[in-house]
This record gives sequence, structure tokens and C-alpha cells, in this order.
Amino acid sequence: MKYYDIIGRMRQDNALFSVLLELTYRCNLDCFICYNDRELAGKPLSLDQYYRLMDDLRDMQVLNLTLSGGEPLAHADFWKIGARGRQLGFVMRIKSNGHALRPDVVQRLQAEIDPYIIEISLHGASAETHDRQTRIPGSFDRLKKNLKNMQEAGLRVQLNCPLTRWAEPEIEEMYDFADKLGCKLSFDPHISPRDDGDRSPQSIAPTDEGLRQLYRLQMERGFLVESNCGSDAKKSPAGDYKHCGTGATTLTVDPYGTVFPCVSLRRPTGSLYETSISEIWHGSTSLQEVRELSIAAAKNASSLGARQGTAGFCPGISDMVCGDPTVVHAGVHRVARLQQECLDK
Amino acid sequence: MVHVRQISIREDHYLTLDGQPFRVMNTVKLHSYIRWRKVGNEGVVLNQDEGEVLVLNELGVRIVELFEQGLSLDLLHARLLAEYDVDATVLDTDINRYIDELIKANVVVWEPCDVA
Repeated sequence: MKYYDIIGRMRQDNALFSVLLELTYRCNLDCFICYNDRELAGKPLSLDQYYRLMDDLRDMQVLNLTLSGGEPLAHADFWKIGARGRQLGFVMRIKSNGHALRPDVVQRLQAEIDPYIIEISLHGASAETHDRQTRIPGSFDRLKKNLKNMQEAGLRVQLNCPLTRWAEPEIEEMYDFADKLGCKLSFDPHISPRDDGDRSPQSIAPTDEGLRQLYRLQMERGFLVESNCGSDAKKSPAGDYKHCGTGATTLTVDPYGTVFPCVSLRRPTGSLYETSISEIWHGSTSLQEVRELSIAAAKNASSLGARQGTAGFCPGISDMVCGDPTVVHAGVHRVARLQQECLDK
Repeated sequence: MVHVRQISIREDHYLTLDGQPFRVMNTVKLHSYIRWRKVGNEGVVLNQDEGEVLVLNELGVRIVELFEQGLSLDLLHARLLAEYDVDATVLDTDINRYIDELIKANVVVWEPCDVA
């Protein structure tokens, strides 16, 4: 059996495979498009609770464990949690803004956590554009230095750019930037509202012209578009009766122990203060509802035709934008149309 | 106790020490860059160094599980013989073939071992 067949089967069978831990919403940058609800209050999970959670996830045969945030390195127990994850045999992934990843930190990261990949956010190819979005002067120059060092240290780095209208004039330069570093660069054309419902980040969503430029460059590079959903299951050709892995192969845990089907779909399915992750996975009725919604979403997504797998339809964003995760919202249709235009040309 | 630095082939089961033959308890261990999990009866293995993914069948999963527990080749053979309704020679061939595949895929490596 091939890998993608297994991923497809896991999605069908609801086999948890990838978990993302939002360790903290604290951050050393102040991105305008950040989706975190930084005003959210609660009692953060303790180190013992994280250890228990990771033990349970290991027993559930979860392979991928992502440490995210906010900025995950801003969590007081980041190193202990990461080291325990490595010890338990997870494929450790880290999502960071890269600001704190100085040479000594990178060295420690390799020695203590040994991550498979570090995903870094990039917001432009110039200090003016990147810093405008992060709202921290000097953040681009510092990131550049840190990225160079990470590459020299042999870390596998992927750059992720949530495309904004501020950054869209620099798409080509960002590709060049990534090429010089030998990193993969992935663009997300969909800017989501904040988790508290604030839609102001969408005010700088990319323009049609910006997206045309993106797809034109991607075609020149031999691929039209990228799949931006974090779940590997999306790429599976088999068993695609669910739209994506949300709640079927993935879970996200926020800093206060609330469990969500994925990072985008913010429908609480349980709390680690009340029950174990295993009980939530097997017994949560809201999680079961999400799995059924994912089936309905897949049916609706078929209206995108050939662009179904590339237009970036995310039930989580649809839920935020129109209150229904099964609806293919207008932004997805726009992306699909622009992609098709580029292909037709 | 004699420490054998490296056993590169399984045929070296018997070595000579002061003219006396003795049995080497070969072990195989997972590379440090290997991460894996069981998915139903199968296994998904990621080679972190190369970014390659490998899928193991049921026998492969069991072999990797037992190697992870530090079992020698002999003990692994005995354990699988007890677990599966299979001829010992056939099992031996299957195990050897599987180990060869895992070595080629950089999943496991022969481990220096202590011998009695």
C-alpha cells in the first residue's frame, strides 16, 4: 500500500495522525494579519498536562507533532515539551516567525528537539514590506540572517507566505529569495479573519492582479498552484469522501487546553481540563459532527471542478466568513476562476 | 564478555575466539533519524534525513517493533516463530529479506553487539 493510500484510509477511518499544539499566543512580532485571538483568557496547560497529552498521543500512534503559537519559542517550557516530543518518537515540526532563531538557538534546537522541518513566515522580499506587516522594524533583516544560518546548519526550512496586497508586488523577488536559500516557498492566497471574528486582516487580501501574477509565476516554474492545507490527507487520491483531514486525521490544541478539529476550524470539541485527548477523539459528538460536515464540504467542493484540489477551499475559513464550513465561499471561487484563467491562457 | 565492533553480514553468526567457536547475537537497530508509527496493521516510516516515507506491511511493523525493543536477531526469530504459523526456514528467509530491504532503505543498521 502506498503512503497516500494509507493517508486516505486514515481519513476514512478517523485515525489521528497529526496534532498541532498552539503553545502560547504570545509573540515577539505583531503581525497585522495574525489570526490568533490574543485577548483570549484561560488557564494555560501545565508542563505535566503536556507530558500526559504527548504520552496519550504516542499511544494513539500520532506521528506528526507541530509546535506552534503565537511564537512557540515564547512558551516557558518550549524546550522541555520539544525534547519530550522527540523522546517519544514524534516527527517534530515547528512553526515560527524565525525572529528568535539565532545561531545558538538553532544549535540547541538541533541537539534537543531535532525537528524534521521548521516553517517560517515570510511577508515580503524587502524590509519595507515584511516589517510593515510584522510591525517590528528590523524583523526582515534579522530573519534573513537567521534563515541563512539555519540553512548552513542543515535545518530543513520551508517559507510560508500568506499573500497580502502589500506583498504581492514582490512575489517574484520572494521566489528568488527562497531559491537563494534553497528553501521551498509556499503561498496562501486566503487571508482568514481573526479567531475572534475580526475581519480587518482581510482588508489587505491580495488583489486579482496579484493572484494572476502568482499563478503566472507558478506556471513558469512548472506548477500551477500549491495545496495550502497543512493536512497531507488532502493530497490523497484515495478515499476522498471527506474534504480534508479536519477532525479526521488532525487536531489542534490551544494554550488553554481547548481541542479543535484543526487550526482553521475553531469549533471546540472538548477540553483537556475535563477529559483526555483519547476520550475526545473517540467520544466527542461535536467532532463527529465535524467529520460529517467534512463530507458535505467535499460534495460542495466538487462544484469547483478541476480546481477543487487547488483553490484552497478551507471549511474553517468558510465557517468564519459565512458561518457554514460546508459552503464554498466567494473567495475560493475567485481563486479558482483566476487559476483557470491562467491555465486557459 | 567480548565486544564485536561491527558485524556486516549475517553469515558471521559464528566467530572464533581462542580457537573456540561462539555464536554472535546480532542486533539491528533503527537509525536515529527514523520516526515511525503503526497505522492499523501497517506502518508509516519517515526518514527525517532524506524526507522519504516508507510503508511497512504487518510483518515489517512487527520486526521494527521487536528491534525497537532491542531484541537480537535470534530472539526476534524465536518470537515471530511463536506468533505466526510459519515454517522456521521460510520465516528465516522472510526476515533476512526484510532486513535487507530495511537496510537498503536506511531504516535500520546492524548494531555492534556484546556476545557471551
